[in-house]
Amino acid sequence: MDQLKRSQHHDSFVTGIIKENPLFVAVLGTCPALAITTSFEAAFGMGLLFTFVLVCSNVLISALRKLIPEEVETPAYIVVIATFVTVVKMLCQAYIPNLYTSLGVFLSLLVVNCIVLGRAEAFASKNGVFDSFLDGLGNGIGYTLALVVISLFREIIGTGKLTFGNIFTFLQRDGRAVSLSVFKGEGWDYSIPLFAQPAGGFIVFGLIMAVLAAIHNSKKDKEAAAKRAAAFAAAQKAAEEKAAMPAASKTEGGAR
Amino acid sequence: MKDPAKKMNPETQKYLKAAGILCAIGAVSALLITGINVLTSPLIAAQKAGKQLAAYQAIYSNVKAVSDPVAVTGSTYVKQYWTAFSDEGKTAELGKIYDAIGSNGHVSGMEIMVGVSGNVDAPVYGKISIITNGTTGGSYSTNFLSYVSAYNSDPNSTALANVKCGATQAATVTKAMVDEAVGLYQSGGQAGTSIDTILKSIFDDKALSRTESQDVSGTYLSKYWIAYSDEHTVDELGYVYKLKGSATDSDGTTTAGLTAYVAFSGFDTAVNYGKLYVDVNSFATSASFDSYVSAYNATPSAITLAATPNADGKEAGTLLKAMVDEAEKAYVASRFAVKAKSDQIFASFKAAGDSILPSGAKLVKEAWTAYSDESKATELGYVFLARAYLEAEAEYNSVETSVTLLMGVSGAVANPTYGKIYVVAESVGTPQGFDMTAGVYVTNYNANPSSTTLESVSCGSTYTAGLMRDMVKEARSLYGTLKGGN
Repeated sequence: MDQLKRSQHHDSFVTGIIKENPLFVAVLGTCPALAITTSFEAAFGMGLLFTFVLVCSNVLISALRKLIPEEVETPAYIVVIATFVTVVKMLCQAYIPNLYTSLGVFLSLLVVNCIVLGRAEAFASKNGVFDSFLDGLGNGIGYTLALVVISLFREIIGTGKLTFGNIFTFLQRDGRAVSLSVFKGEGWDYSIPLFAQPAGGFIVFGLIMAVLAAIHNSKKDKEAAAKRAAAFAAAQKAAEEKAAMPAASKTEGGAR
Repeated sequence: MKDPAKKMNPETQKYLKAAGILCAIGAVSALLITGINVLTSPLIAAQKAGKQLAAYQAIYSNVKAVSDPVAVTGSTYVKQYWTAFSDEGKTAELGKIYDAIGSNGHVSGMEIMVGVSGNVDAPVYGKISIITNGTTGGSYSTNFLSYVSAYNSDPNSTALANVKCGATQAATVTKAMVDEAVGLYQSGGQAGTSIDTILKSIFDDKALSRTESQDVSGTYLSKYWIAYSDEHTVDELGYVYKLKGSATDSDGTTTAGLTAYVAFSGFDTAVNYGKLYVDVNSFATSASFDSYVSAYNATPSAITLAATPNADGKEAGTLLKAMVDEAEKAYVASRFAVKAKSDQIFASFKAAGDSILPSGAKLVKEAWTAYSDESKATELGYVFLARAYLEAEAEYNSVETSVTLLMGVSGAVANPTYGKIYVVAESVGTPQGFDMTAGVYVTNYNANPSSTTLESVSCGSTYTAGLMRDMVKEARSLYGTLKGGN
């Protein structure tokens, strides 16, 4: 029984990270993913805030799931989500103002983010508090990872460098943001500014989706090939056994 | 007593319960948000104050003090402004800092501060400091910051106008805010009233149409408009000049600004002073200045204009008089500029006589004698200025026409000589344009001015040509009256 529960907890947490990644697999929450992934720091910050909102709303909705009547489920979920988004927004404005500015309206738009509302309706309203917590955390980490991957490509290719300290000022050195030059340096610049533009977001997102689809298809092909091979081996074995049968019968008959 | 709950419909009970739970969740949410707001609002306010101070310094690096904010009313974006000083004693002025907030379909609550300094006639664009970045975030935010950064590296109107930066909407609203701040700086700090409202006030609601603003140069002048009592810019009421100037106020230190409008009408030798409209006045409030303006407006003339206040209001009054004097000269010059075009009618034109309005004139608005010598001894003939509007007629003339002409008439009263036509202004809406139609008529007529060419109105703009023909005919008929009166 404990083993079963542990397995369920594990699934709740892990599923949202890779197997059912909200952005790359479920293709949800694409609007902020394309808008705020021009910088690694903004994407990471958005991921953290998103995870906080998702975890908190999942936990509270799960805790209240037996109390909230079916008729007002959606309005109640939206009130809960909007509350956490407002809280996050105010805290972000007060303590990480650069992140608040950088995320702009997309922070407020978390209220209507389909991942948050989707997890509330699909999981938190039907499962226990701990599983809902793990589900929120898993999906939050999955979404954060997806944002970070896209932003790494876009910032490095689009600006030619990776900058830290513009948003999280504690990363600054001597009061200045720290930049790691990759495609841009003194006297040379191989960056492609298109990737910092909205169109670049679509391109990177599309390419990553294509790579993931290729990996997925390749895996499926391998599994299918393995299944075919196993079926062929089984069939061969059965044929061999069938071929061996008359000889044995003859021997047995002769002995009789 | 019966228990009301027992009588309640189960459905009603269900919905009441749902509503109650929803209200309870809402109440708890409100409490939580209020608590967080109490916690964060001082920090956010402190951040804003810090940004404001940093903004002052970003605009004027050597700013040491700023004045109290001055609220701006009637403006679209600018809400307040400060005067920045380079010393704690607030004596050395650096310029103004304007605080503006703007939004449009793609930008919400964009707040900037911008500096404007220098001469009001040639204001120096200052740096922009962003207080609230109202873009939707992401690349729009980054691109907008790049736009502001490029502008700040060399603040000028060209850099400001370069709004296609990947965040065009944000840059456009920022440009509008800066433009308004510059306009306010030029007008002395307060938003101006619309020119149509001003014209109605000056001409007692008689101004029904006007020209677009025309440029005029001068110490205090930049623009003028011509107002008309009809909707088709035909019957002229007068010229209205925008006057802008600044002077040291009565305290001996503050530079105050004045923006006013004044009207003139009539002809060169009998210029009529029109009413004044004081739009913006940042001089210290003065009852005597207001009385001076009221007295002038009661009977506008050079005499009432000269009666400037002696004590308080002296500075503003003196400035206003200087500005109106300059406008009067500009008005006469504008009138003469039209008369000078008489050389297009009479090639040997050297001087013009006084303007008159012939009695019985309908299309003709003004006439004067043209002379071939400066001493006005040798008369060439008469030049008539006519202006008319032709309503659109659905079948044949689907476009409105407005024409202002100069025409010459000379010779014997019994059989006046046809003189040339000069088109001062035209608004002919035919698809081919004036030059290809009515312009051809004018060219043909001018090649050989006669009754035959005058009547050859089939030119592609028959109605417009017919209107010009009628103008010439009226001028010829008035010629006898004028000549007889001479």
